Amino acid sequence: MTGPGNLAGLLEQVSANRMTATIATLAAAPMAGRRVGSAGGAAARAWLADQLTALNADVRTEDFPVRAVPQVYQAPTISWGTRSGSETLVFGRQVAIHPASADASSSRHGTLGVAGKDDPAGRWLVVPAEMGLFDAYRDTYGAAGLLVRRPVDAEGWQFTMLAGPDPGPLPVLTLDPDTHHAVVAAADAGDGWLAGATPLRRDDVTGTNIHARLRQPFPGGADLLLVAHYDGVGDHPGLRLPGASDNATGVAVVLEAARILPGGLPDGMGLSVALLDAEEIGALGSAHHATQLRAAGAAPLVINVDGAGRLDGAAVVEGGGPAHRLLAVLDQAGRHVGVPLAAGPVASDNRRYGGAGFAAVGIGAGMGGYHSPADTPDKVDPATLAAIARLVVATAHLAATMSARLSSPIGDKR
Amino acid sequence: MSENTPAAGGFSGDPAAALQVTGSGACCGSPAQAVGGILPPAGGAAGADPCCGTRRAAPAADSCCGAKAKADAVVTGQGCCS
Repeated sequence: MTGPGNLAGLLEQVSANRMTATIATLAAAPMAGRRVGSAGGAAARAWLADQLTALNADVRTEDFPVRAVPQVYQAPTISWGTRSGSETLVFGRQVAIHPASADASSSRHGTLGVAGKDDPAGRWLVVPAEMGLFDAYRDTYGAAGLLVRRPVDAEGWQFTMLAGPDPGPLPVLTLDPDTHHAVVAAADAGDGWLAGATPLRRDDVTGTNIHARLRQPFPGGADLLLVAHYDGVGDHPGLRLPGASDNATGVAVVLEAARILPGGLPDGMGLSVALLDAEEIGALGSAHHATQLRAAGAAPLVINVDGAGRLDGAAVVEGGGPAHRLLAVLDQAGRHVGVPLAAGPVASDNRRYGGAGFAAVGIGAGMGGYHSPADTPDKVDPATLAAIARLVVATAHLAATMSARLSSPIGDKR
Repeated sequence: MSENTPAAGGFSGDPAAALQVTGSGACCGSPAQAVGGILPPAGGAAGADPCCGTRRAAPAADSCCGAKAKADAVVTGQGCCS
């Protein structure tokens, strides 16, 4: 039985194995980390569209322009040394290219100096840990480049960001804390040099959202929109960034809910899915979609899943727009399926929908190896996947069956 | 369920608190929150200036970061936007 009253029957259909298989596919080498505008992103999109088509959904894609996507086009060779020796730094661990770096394809060799203290001409200036990048730029005329401290994750990887400040005039490298400490000491002693390039170009590309309509709502009826971003920060040359937790997990949860829900919702309840591109460069896919929805006069209830890798205590929930009722339903669903929830930041696509005036919630349940090679499928906890999928399925079901009885104690206004 | 009974699931407090996530529009703290600097804030609680600026500024009273983001920034030694 898959009738609207049979929530238990729907929850029993949730398969962690099916979601794990989805994550393995999206995190595999042919998808190349799924950077917006990349061949890997296109491969992921084609596969996802096939999955949704197999659910008998009405599937379409929507393009939008994305400007200046940073991309390391060559693994940089960075070396440094003192009178007592030299070493070549490991890309991704000891050194990486800052997203605000200028593109310098050829190696620059310079002596080390301290930003704000030494003559910048011809030097690689190491930025003290207590100094921000903006402050470091004050006296850099003629410098070879800047060296900035960057923390590493538990496995010693630096994280990669696509979204960030506009590029400045200088090459900027990020150093792990140990290397940064050693370079500062050498610069303070007036002994040291560094040589390296910052091959980082910015491409204008096309982002593409995937839309699937699974059920049409009755006029004026509730319409649920499940979203997750499928893009990642993308591989670097010689360095895979699989993007398993971020956000193959969210996509897997939404696909799983899309498989289960259509037959279990009452007549008149609408259901659609949006798998979004370009979240990593500033949630541009959702911004595009939210604008379209507004223009169309739509009023969906939006649930965004960004990270369902490993639940640590409670799933984090951020609401936006007139979401009091949706949050109340989510609370009920959390109690029903036993998933603790806590208010907290989910800085993701949900903000674009909430900012556009739609009831929107973002759900986050853990990411391992954030934006690093450590974000691999083996870090994903199947029990977390199942818990968040059950939460989404229960929320959708309760929204359909309780909407007539749920009143907001505060009152959502549109 | 009584408000004093610990919930096995759901929110332990008012679900509407999720609409007032303090400081989630800030860009300092953990990298996972950094993208927040270019996204609209979750609610009115985020400061008008999304950045703490420097490591020195992050611990300062009334700096713009939310409590969690500020704590992360201080622990990791990061300033904002760096």
